[in-house]
Amino acid sequence: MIAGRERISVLLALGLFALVPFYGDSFYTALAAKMMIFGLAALGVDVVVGWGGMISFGHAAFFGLGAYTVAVLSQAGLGDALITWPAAMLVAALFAAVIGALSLKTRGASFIMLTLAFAQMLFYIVSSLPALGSSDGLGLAKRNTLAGMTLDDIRRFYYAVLLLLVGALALTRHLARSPFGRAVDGFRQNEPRMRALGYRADSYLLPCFIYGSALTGLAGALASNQMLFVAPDMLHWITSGTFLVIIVLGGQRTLLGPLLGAAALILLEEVLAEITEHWMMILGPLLIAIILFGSRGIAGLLRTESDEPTA
Amino acid sequence: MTAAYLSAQLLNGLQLGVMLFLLAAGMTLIFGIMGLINLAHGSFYMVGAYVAATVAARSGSFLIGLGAGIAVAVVLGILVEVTVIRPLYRRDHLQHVLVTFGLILFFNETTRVIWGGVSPNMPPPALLAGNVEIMPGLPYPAYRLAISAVGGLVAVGLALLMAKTRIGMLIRAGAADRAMVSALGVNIKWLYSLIFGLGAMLAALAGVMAGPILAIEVGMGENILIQAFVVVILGGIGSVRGSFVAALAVGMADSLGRAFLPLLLSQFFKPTTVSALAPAMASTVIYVLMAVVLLWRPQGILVRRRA
Amino acid sequence: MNPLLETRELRKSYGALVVTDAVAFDILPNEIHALIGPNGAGKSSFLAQLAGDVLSDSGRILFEERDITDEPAERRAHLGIARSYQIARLFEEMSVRANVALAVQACSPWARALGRPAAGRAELIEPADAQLERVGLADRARAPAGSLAHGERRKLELAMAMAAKPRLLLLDEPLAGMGVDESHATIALLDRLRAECAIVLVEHDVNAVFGLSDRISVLVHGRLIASGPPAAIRADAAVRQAYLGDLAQEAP
Repeated sequence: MIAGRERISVLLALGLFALVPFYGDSFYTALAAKMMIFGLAALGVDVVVGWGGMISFGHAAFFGLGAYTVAVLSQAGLGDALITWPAAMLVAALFAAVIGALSLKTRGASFIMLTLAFAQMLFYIVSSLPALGSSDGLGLAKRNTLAGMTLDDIRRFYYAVLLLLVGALALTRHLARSPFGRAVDGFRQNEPRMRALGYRADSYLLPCFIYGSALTGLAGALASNQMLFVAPDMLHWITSGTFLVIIVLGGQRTLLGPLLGAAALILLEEVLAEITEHWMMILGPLLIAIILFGSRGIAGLLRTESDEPTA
Repeated sequence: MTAAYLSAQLLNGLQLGVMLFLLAAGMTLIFGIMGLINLAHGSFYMVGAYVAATVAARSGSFLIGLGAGIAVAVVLGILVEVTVIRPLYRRDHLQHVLVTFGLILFFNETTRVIWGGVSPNMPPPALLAGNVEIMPGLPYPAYRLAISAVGGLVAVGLALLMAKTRIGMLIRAGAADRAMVSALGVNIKWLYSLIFGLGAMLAALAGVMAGPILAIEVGMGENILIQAFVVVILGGIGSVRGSFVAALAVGMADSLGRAFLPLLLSQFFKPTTVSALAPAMASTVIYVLMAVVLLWRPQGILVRRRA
Repeated sequence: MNPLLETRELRKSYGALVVTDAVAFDILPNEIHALIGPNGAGKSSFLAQLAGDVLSDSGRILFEERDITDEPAERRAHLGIARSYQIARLFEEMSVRANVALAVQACSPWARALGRPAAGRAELIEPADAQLERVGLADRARAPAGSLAHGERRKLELAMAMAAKPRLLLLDEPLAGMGVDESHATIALLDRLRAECAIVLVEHDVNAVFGLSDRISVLVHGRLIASGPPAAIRADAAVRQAYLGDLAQEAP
């Protein structure tokens, strides 16, 4: 059960994010928008990894596909978010259906390597197709409009992102509590038992994989809108690794975890980048230390033991 | 002409195959015996190449460079195993992935700091610098032939090590049953460090040999690592023999794909389209191969089906 | 009467180790057919083959005259075969009630799985609670499954298996780890269950086996050495020698 205490912390965090444009300048607003976008991408990863127990090391592919869909449509003159954002989700979902169906023929380490390999294949394709700008990527002339309304003002864009994030959190919470979500949780905890009860893995794990990938694809669409630029790096496996870092930092299977993890990582990057341009030399060992010595992530600290059993 | 071209492509495929085997053999052993997913395996490949190129340039000797590259990678490998990897064995896969991801970030950035983003140049040894005419009208770089030969020797050596020595016996026993090895009174920690060091050695050997033919750059380890993952999966996790077969198959598929896809495409498309599509399609050949094999037998090429 | 389930020449080996060897076994509707034998005789392995957790090397399995030899476990569950495990396999992080609700839900179509939260659905909760009541776990419904004592875990396994409303129940040592009172209650429950389904019972408690079973088959080294009503098995010299020893004389 998502207990009272967690519901309060979710609302509190979203409320704080809603206030940022009032008190922060455009730099902080853009920074907070980036946190929410990465939080949304990581929420999609958490659906797959945290809830479904499928360790995908290839979610950057769906992030990138979402972003490139927006860029390509915008070059073709389709610039309204009502078309481009659902299209981004659809493209991500279609690729997820194929990659997921193939990768789910295996479990464990093979699944990790397969998702990584397929994502990297898409990375190589995107970075060698001239129509997609090869390794240079593509620029967007301007942000998508939303039902005809311009989002060029960072504040408007910011609230559009916030609304989508809230929607995604609500839908994910709903699904996690539904019988479908229960079954997915069952597969994570004990797959042979689920099969003995009569559940088919493909009917539950594959839809879970596709849904999570579509969320990450939507985040990609938003990221391309914020940066007005897409590049093959969005599909690179380092991006996939970053998403995993975010959900572990934030805490898995906690709605808020991905957002908190994204906020923490982005802040950390900002701070470390102030110290040295080679901040990854610090981030790497820090990450190792957190995994080796840390436990349940930031959101885990907010959650009491009595919240745990799902009754 | 076509026969010569085909032979050259097959030799290229063989050479890529043995390089992939050197990486995949270590990874498949480390996973099969220790249950560890090591994303940072490519870092030893990179470190080997950088150190060897630098030492070879200073000393003027390729062989001293080779020795230094391998030695540094092995020491580094054992150091990493003892400090960071050891606490991981009882943890889950996601933690393996994240910790070794952290290692990659660290190694890549440290390399950038030490070498300043400049790619060191590494010429092949003078003895192997020229071409060999392997058949009339087909000159082929002697160095590339030497890579295949060394790779083949290592494969034979590895097979002998596994089949004939006490360490090989322990490794095979460890892959079958971890508890049994410790019951034999073997210090399992020592065995794990040894296997990790062996893996680092093979990866560094591949990296050093790649130095003269590929660009030595940050990220080189990860590019080949992902191809090596394909090999490990196709060969069946834990199977060195499977990795060998799969590595050759992947090497051949990649080389032939790059060589013949443009020719094939040009039968159907305009030259501009071909030059746009061919590189993208060629890079997908091995992944298509992987998908086909997965549909056909998900547990790997050589692993027998188990219920 | 036609058998509910029947195996012909069923065989399974792991390398040189033969775990079931040419087993011909059958069970009638509403029958309790016990499978006994020394440790390592292949009883659990045979149940796993019936349930589809393990695929057989050769031979056939017929369920209601339909060949299910190559059907996966989830398909067999839908046909009406449910099992409990020797080592309880539970969803440790879920509540006891959620464990059983998940078993109930397995019978309903996928499309109904979206929508309202599982925890508020009467069509899942009520049947689940009814099963918990039957096995005597109703007071533990809200506890996490991971916190249960050994005997309670067996009861939960039983409740999950029954929740699927199977026609054939495969029970692997349902009484292990239970106290005397718990054991008696469970034996009485199994006796009543006969009205609803057939049961293949693997159990070490000889008294329970001889008291409950309509038929008993004896498995030694993967081979069936005897099969018949309890009285015949008790009197069988080969069985006494191979397995029962003096135990049979003590049994009532």
